[in-house]
Amino acid sequence: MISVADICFYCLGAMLLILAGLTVLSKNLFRSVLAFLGVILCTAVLFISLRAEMVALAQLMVYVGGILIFVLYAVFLTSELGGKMPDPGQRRTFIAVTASMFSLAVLLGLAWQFYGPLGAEQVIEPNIASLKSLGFRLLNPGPDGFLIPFELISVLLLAAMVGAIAIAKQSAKSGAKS
Amino acid sequence: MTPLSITHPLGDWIRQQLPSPFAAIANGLIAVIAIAMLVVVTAIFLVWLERKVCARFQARLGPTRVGPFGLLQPVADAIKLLMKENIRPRTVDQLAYFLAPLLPITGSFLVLIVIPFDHNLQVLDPDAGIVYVTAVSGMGILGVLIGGWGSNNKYSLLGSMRAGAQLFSYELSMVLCMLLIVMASGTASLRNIVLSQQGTILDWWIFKLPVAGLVAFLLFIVSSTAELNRGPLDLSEAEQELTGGFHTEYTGISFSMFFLAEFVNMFAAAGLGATLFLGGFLAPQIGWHPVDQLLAFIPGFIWFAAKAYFLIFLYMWTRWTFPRLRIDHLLSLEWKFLLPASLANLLLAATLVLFKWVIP
Repeated sequence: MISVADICFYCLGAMLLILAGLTVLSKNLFRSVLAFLGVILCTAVLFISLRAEMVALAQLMVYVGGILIFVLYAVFLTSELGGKMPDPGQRRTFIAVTASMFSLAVLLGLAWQFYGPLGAEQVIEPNIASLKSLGFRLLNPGPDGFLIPFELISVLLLAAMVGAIAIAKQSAKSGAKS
Repeated sequence: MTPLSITHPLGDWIRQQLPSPFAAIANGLIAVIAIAMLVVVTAIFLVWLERKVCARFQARLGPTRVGPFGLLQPVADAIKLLMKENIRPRTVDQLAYFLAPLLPITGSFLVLIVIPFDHNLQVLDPDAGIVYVTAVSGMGILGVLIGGWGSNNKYSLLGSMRAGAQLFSYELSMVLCMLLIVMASGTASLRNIVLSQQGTILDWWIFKLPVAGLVAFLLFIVSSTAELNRGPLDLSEAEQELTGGFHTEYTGISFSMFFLAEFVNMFAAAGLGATLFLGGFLAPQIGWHPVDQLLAFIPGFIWFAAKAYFLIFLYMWTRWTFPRLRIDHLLSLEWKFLLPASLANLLLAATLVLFKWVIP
């Protein structure tokens, strides 16, 4: 028996696949960024339909509010309006296809474990991805917490920021000389 | 306090009348239509208000002829904008040019969905309401960037680059101010933030956290003025330098979408400010029983509207009082003053919350 939720899920999945294809295959760099925006929105809806609102919101905030805007800036500064991407060439196409086939195989292998009707032990508890439980787990030093990775990521971000400032200072100095 | 509400009985009545999937769809449709009506009416009213306030600040009368007090002037303007030919230049990126005006209005529409207008007058109340607000407000930046680039015009591109830099930097201090309230109230749901301010006026977060609340409120007003692209921080459409900025190439209906989004965004930001700092839909109780009873009798959405329109008046006041900043001044204001100030304020508020030095 197919329910309304199932139909929605398959429509969303089809849309997601089409948009993901467009992201990779479009010759116009700007169009592929737009398709990527569609992919992000579809994935967010998928997360919401799986009752993981917090993950969906975090994805929207990070990707739409951050990464996508930087990607757009990069596109604006490097490409012309209506400019076409050059053909990638056989070697790069071969590498790309091999890499994506490999990741597809890994994903299918993972999905295979959960194929068929789910047992009671495989159904996760409903509030596992809520804001509260995520917050507690991120700051929990115990065995099921992520305090150390969390702090390490902050250090990584700090290092990246200091690096960016150092690079900016260097170019400002050389700009002043020339 | 008894919440005056018609929304719950209405939803329940629809659930009784229709089978399960259709009732949810009908209720959702009603909510969406209500918000859409709110968007249109607010935008039209705010255009009138802006013209009136601007006129008074410049010792003029503003619109007076169309309708009483010129109230129908924006309606006439809207009809004019809709009737205008929608010119689409041949050299633009067609998809981007079409898509860009839709994104900002979508963003502000999505923000309005989580704002609590009254006890039971809120479409959705996600646990992470603040995260939701920051997530969907990114849509506005995207619309400006895409539109400016897709127009294929140097003024548009420069305007959109400036707007992007400005919106992106000022979002930081705005989010830090919101984070402060989340920390103080211990919840990220907008409804629970309002409920955490129950009591007298002194229980609103602007006063309850000594000093830190007021500073956060001021920082919020400044950074949201920049987020709204309003004067004195409206550099992305500085007429003297960039003609129209990112919407130079837009005409008719597609221009009015940007225009509409600007005003609805102002309402959304003011509503957010009222929710976070001024007790949202709660009546301003002063601790003297007879007056409090009288004030509590006025329904919450009127209090909400009064607070939101007070903030809107603040935005308009600053717009028509201060001269426009230069782009490098604008960015150094954010990065060298507002951001350190909001970080320090966050630290101060954390100390206050930790040692429970809040006004009881």
